[in-house]
Amino acid sequence: MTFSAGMLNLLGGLPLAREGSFWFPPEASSFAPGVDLTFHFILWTCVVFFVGICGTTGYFVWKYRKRPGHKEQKTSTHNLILEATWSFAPLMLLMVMFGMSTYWYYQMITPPKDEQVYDITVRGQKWRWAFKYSGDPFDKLYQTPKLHVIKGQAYRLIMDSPDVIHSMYLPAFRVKQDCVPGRYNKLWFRPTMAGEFDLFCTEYCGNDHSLMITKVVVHEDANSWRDAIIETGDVTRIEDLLARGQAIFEQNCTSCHTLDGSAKVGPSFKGIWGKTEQFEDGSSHVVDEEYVRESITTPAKHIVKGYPNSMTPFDFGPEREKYYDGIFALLKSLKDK
Amino acid sequence: MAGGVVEKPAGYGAPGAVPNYLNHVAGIKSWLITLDHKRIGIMYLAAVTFALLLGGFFVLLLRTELLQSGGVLFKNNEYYNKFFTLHGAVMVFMFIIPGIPASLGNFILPMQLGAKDLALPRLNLMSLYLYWIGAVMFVLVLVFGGLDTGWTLYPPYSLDRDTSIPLLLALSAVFILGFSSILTGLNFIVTMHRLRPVGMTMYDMPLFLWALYATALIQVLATPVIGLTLGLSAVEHIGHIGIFLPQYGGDPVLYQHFFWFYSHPAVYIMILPAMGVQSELIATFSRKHVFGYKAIAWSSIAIAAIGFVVWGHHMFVAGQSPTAGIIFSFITFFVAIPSAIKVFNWVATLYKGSIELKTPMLYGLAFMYLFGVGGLTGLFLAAIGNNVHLHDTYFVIAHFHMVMVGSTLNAFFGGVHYWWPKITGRMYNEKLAVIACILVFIGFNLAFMPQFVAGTRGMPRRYANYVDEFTIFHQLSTIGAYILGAGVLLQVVYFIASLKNGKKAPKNPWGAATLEWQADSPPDFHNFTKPPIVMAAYDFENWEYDPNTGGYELRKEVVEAGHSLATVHN
Repeated sequence: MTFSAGMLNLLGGLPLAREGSFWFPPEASSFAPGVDLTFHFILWTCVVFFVGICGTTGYFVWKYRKRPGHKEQKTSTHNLILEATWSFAPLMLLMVMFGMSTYWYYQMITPPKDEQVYDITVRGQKWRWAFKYSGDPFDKLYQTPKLHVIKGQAYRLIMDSPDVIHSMYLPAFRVKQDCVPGRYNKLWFRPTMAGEFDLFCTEYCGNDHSLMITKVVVHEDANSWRDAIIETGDVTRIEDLLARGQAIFEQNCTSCHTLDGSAKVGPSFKGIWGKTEQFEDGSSHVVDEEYVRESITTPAKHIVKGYPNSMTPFDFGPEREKYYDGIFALLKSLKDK
Repeated sequence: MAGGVVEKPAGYGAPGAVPNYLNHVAGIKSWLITLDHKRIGIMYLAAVTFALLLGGFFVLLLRTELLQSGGVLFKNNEYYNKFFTLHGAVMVFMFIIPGIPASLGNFILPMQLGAKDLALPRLNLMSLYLYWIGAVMFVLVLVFGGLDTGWTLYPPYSLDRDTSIPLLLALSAVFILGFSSILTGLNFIVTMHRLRPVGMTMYDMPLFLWALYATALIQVLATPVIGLTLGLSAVEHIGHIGIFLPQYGGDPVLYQHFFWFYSHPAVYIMILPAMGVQSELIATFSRKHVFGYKAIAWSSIAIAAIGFVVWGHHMFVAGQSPTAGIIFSFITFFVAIPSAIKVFNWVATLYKGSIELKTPMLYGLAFMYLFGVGGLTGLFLAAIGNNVHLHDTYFVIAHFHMVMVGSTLNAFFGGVHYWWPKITGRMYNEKLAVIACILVFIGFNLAFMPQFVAGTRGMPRRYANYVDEFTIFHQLSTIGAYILGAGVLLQVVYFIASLKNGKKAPKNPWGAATLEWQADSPPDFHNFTKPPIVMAAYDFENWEYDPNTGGYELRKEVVEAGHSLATVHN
């Protein structure tokens, strides 16, 4: 879009088809229309106040300018009703802004429950992105430098980093989430427009931070999506990951855990992935990447009901992501079908 | 004890010259060991101006580099990263935080109370020395190869590296500058409680002082937290003790909580004194009592208080719990109310006034516009669902520059123009000052308005390279930065020229009613040669224009009666 075309479009803020509006890139996810609507509500409220303040200021400066024959007049030094009005009336508008925006934020943190959400693992590292796909329809694990998704499908991204903090930003989807080393952050979205859109790193991560740019490719259908991933992806055999997980399990876990469903000192790993565990302190959590990581590094934090607090905290060291990938593959393979 | 024992009043200047704080004793030593708040204020003014020019020089390099994607100036991204780090660190820690309070505040605060000095003059000198030590350490960061962490110093990037001398220097520098800030704040609080003259209650103080009071509260309460955080960072960097780094069992998000627990309130350390200056400018140049004095005074305190419980809005996408995020978003909206109250009250103050468009007032009016943009764009960022999109983009850059540069720097300029005659005893060239003001205003707008749009379209911050779509926004912004730079340089030129060639300033060139204008220009070493007549801060009736001096004089009746004619209570 040219800048002048954007200027012409300033007033409406209307979407210019595929190219977005003056303010925004195209609305390519299910969140985008709501977020933009809120933006325009705040924008026009601000415009009204801004024009009011600057207009009144300008008018007073002109009308009461210092000139021969004009003298200032005493006015009241305060006025409770006036001051209370201009304090509380804007408060109402602020609450509307808060409500609208929080409604859309709530959508962003609540993935759909009544449909299949496809998981993609995102790894941000100095200075490139890796997106990993496994499970149906793939028999291997594929890793691509661009993010590939299908229009209309819901995705959940599980994000981490092996080095420093990165942040994955998809302007066309209006979403962003940090990749923080030492924890797994999550993000979900549903693309609604096919095409290629920018994907930026937005947390400063060193020398080539500004080269950590790639694309998200939204495919029209599952076939072109699968083909693109198989064509451009690096392959890791699932069996290798599973074998790695198996080896870690046998070296470290067998004295307390089993894979066959029988309980030892700790819970068995069979069918544990995706299950909601009840804890001694009354809380509960789904067994996912972040919970498994926490249970290894700080096991005492959430003790599963009925089991003793007896595990020693464990850290895999600087190469920990490799180990976790193996463990996750193992646990996922033991999921109840 | 105010003024110190080392300076001899007996020396009082050259024969025939009117004695004042500048000429009563001479020599470099008399400056270095002075306890006079005015001289300390001047040294701060020189130091923060140097920091402003240094930080400004860095940003002109950065903006030049950004004229084209791929860069036009630096060999590689490392230089860009180092310069944006130093630009931020120098501007934040050496210019904006100490800027108005330590320079103008130091000079004006005791005089507005009719006092001889701050309550604790030795502490004041110590805080200046701490500032200098911190500043020298920042310059050493450059000498030792620079630092590329960003001024926020987020781990793991900042700490997870080989033991780095520039990093440790920067951590120590901020730690030491923090103490300078704490001591200044403490001194101000004590002074406002203990040295008010008989007859002046807290509610009779000029609003500039209320703003400095609120600022000082934040300085004293929040600054220790950044000191501790950076101390912990240094310990972790050297000793590998797990606090913020995951490989030692730490959590990088914890650092962000600690950092913003200080640095968000610090944002209000930056803007509150500017709002204080603004209240003085608007009242004086419309010759009107400030409307809603108490509302303005307490809104400063309210901003300071709310500022302590909104830090989480910097971390909406860091992996903080969504519930916490929503609560922080909710509280953040409440900052808008006291800010809006101030703006509405300033507008109402203009009503039925007699508005004179001298240079300080031009900055005052520009403030209404620039703070309007800066403040209102904060609403987009407070809204959590929109913040997810806008976080760490140029929209954020434009927003906080409109507040910090657009508003604070603008008010700093306004304040310097306003008090320059009092500080130096000279008038600056009004015509050049108006041209500089217009250049600065155009510069602000051209530099930052395009950045809002670049931000909503997705341009991330701290990028040495960018996708081509953003070229036009960067080019406009760079031109704006050049114009802004030209305006600032012009100011430096005519201010320095005014010291030699400027017209002698009258006691009260603007007809302002606060107490500092009852002193000579420049003031006597003891500030006032006879005790000032204590009167309401915005009762302009007591002054009348005297064509002989070109300034305002107290009415004869006021001098004879020894008190205000018709006291208007704030």
